[in-house]
Amino acid sequence: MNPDANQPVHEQGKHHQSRAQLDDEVQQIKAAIANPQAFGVLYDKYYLRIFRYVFQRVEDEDVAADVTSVVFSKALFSLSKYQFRGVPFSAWLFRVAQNELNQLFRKNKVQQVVNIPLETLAQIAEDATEEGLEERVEDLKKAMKCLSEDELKLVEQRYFENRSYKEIAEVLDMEENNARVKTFRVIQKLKNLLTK
Amino acid sequence: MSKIKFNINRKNITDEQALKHKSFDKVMAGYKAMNTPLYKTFKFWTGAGIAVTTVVVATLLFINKHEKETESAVKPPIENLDIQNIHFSVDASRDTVMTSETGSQIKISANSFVDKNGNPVAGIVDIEYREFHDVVDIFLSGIPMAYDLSLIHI
Repeated sequence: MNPDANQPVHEQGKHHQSRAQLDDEVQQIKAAIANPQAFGVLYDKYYLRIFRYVFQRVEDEDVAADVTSVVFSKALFSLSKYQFRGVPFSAWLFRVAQNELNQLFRKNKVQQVVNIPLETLAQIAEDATEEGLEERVEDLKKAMKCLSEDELKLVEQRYFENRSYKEIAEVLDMEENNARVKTFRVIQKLKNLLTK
Repeated sequence: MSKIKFNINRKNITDEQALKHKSFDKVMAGYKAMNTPLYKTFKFWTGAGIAVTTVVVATLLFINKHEKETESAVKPPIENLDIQNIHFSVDASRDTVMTSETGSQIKISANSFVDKNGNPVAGIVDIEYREFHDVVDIFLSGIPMAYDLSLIHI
């Protein structure tokens, strides 16, 4: 079976950076290590993406703002440990954000939220008709509760945030093909749960 | 997974709304707080204060317990009927034989006394002693006759 069958149209390459842009970014990181105030350039560049990433996973706008702020502070604090691996700096920032969120969820300091756009349900539950979508919402919620944390992250990123497999792989620190296969398996699992 | 809240079609936040929260100063403040040496933090001094207080309290409790442990075990049950001490003085450099009213004799050879450092004591030495002749005397003295069998080594 082709893992890409019935997959949503994603914003492939929306955040793609050329080699020259990546090199510029490396220079910006070096500048920030030498002078923390220079981190402002990277903050301006990625603030909205990180804020949206966090906000997608929490209930409250103010909580998202606080967590985003901590993510950038921690990123700046650990910047000297950052190693360029040919992917945009944002991949590392997303990982810092995900770790921060995991910590907060684990300590029950923040309510973990999964925001599901209704139209994605059609992509997951192929058999649901347009009219019947809302009726399947409860089934989908129940099915998603059966997923592990890692499986849920893949569905969130691929279906609810329209990320490309390349991006998912960068954020979740895995091979692109691995992200593709794992996501396919999770969707099969969800479909099975929904047809029960 | 049961703690997760699922929202369907939540309204998206606009860039303007998200940008309202943007503050690089807040990021820098957080960064500086992470960079503050541990010894300069309130948390450190609170922890240090608690640790020092714990050590002091533990020491005082230990001393108190130790003092209680070294407290005299001899407790006369009836204060006014306690067996009284008998006093006498001897010249440490001479042989002495002291005979009490009850006929008891105490013989002390010359130069028998030494101080805590083991040096011979010269001059007059004051001596106090008590005589216990029967069960009643021992009872009135309050000297405990019970002992801990576990301390007996075979």
